[in-house]
Amino acid sequence: MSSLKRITKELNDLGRDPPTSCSAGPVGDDVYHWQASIMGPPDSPYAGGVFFLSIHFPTDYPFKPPKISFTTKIYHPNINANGNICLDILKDQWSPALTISKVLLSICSLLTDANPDDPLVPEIAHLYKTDRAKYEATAREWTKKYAI
Amino acid sequence: MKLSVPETISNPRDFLHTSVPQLTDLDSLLRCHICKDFLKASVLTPCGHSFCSICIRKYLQKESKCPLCLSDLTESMLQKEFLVQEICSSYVKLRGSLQKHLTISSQEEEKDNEIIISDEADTSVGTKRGTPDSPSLSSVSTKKRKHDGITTLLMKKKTDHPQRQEKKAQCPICSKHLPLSELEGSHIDECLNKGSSLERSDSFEILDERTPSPSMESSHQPLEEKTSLPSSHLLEVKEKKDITYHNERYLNSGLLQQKENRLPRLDFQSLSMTQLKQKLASLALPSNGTKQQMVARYKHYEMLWNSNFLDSIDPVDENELKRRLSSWEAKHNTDHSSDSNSITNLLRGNKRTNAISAMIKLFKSDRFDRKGWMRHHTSTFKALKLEAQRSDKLAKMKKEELSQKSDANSEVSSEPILKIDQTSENN
Repeated sequence: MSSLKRITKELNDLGRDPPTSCSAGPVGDDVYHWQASIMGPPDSPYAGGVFFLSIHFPTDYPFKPPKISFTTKIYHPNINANGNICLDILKDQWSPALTISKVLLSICSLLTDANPDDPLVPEIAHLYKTDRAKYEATAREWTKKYAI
Repeated sequence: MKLSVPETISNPRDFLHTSVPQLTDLDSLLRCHICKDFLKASVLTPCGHSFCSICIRKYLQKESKCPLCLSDLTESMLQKEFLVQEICSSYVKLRGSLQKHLTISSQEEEKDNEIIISDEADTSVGTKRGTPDSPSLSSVSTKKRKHDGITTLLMKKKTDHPQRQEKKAQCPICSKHLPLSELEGSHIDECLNKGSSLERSDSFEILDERTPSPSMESSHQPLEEKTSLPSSHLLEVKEKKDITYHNERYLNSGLLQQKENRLPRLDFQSLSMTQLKQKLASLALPSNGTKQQMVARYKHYEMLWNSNFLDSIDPVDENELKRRLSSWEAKHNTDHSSDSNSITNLLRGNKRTNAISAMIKLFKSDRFDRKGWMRHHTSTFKALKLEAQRSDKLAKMKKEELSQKSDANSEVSSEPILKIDQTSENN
């Protein structure tokens, strides 16, 4: 299985060169199913929180993107209540040259800079655009409640 | 949580702790960005990116853009690149010993260094008695240490050389493999049906005492021209075969008769079952199974064929391709045999499987038991959290170190406030 080899390589690489403020690894002995954690970026309302994600590799990885979703509840215009993430590189902009490490870093920057023009939760996106302070307050509150 | 990763997985970072850490860069450059392994039968895109032929062809069956820069790309735009192929295979061959020698030499450096220090102490005692100039001595030895890694390497190569030559070699006439001393001593002469017994014993002695110096040829050529000519020729042939194999193959690649016939992409929608079966039969491929299986078989074979005959500098024959196809099918068909989870089930191969896969199915829905999941994986999450925090701290420390360094470099006295800030952050 070429996907198995590639995933093992990524795991090896993560061990050698861990990405900043993120970590990831398989659940038990299932190489196709990983968990990851991301530290809330310090310049965002998610600062101080630790967010967990679930990663699922398709059998034809890296030709198909991995399925990634938040396990920890988070208040964000591009992440819905089920933890689904609206991120172009996880959908049509996926490239086999990308790695989990790079995807996690992209999710990190999505936490700092949300993309309200392509929202998954329109209400949060609306608040983000109209009343930034209120959005930040709620996001901080959720972070305190669910991620610390 | 840590899954044991086999140590055999090669990683560019293997070179970080060798005496030439810059090799990490080269090592990464020679890898395909799809499989992250060394380029195999690499091809070039019009946008200037290289991938394994198989990897990119597989990708282009579904997409039509470059994985690296996302510019438009189709299979017909791919160009083979023999030079990169040979650089890669040459490097892959070399990598193990490179890594071994470079890491070993760093260990030996320490040993050698001790010897050097004692040697130097001895000589200094002998020559400059009464001037134990210790600081300058240590600086000399540290200077030596830096050069030592490379010099020992060079030395090693030199001493390795005659040893390797003493091993087996191929006779250029009868192409038998024989010990080199025997080959040069008597075998060639027998093969050539030349030379008297006197000449033979002469040449034996001379060749046996020979040192790997360039003056060798000239030194014994006047002695006996008949035997020395073929033996020096033999040396050349052998060295070239060993050392310039990939270069030779690259240079001779134009002479290779390659099948330039591309297997076409078929329009499976318009093909009937019998037509499809005929197509497969004409390629001597099995025509059993469902239509879906046959389509997958053809597609995979098309990819194997085109990558082999269009792109590879060293193509294998059709039988080998068929063997690869059937081994791929044996693995692949298990995916389709039952439900979509079967492959992961197979890979997991244990009882926890069902519980987990049931949970995963619910993962995207509202019915997913988030708390239960979190409870179930508390230890994993804790470990992940610690890891993330550690990497975060490391990055912060590095940043601080850098900024402190730059502070120290710029104005030390004028910015005491900033420094205090940083130390408080540190704590």
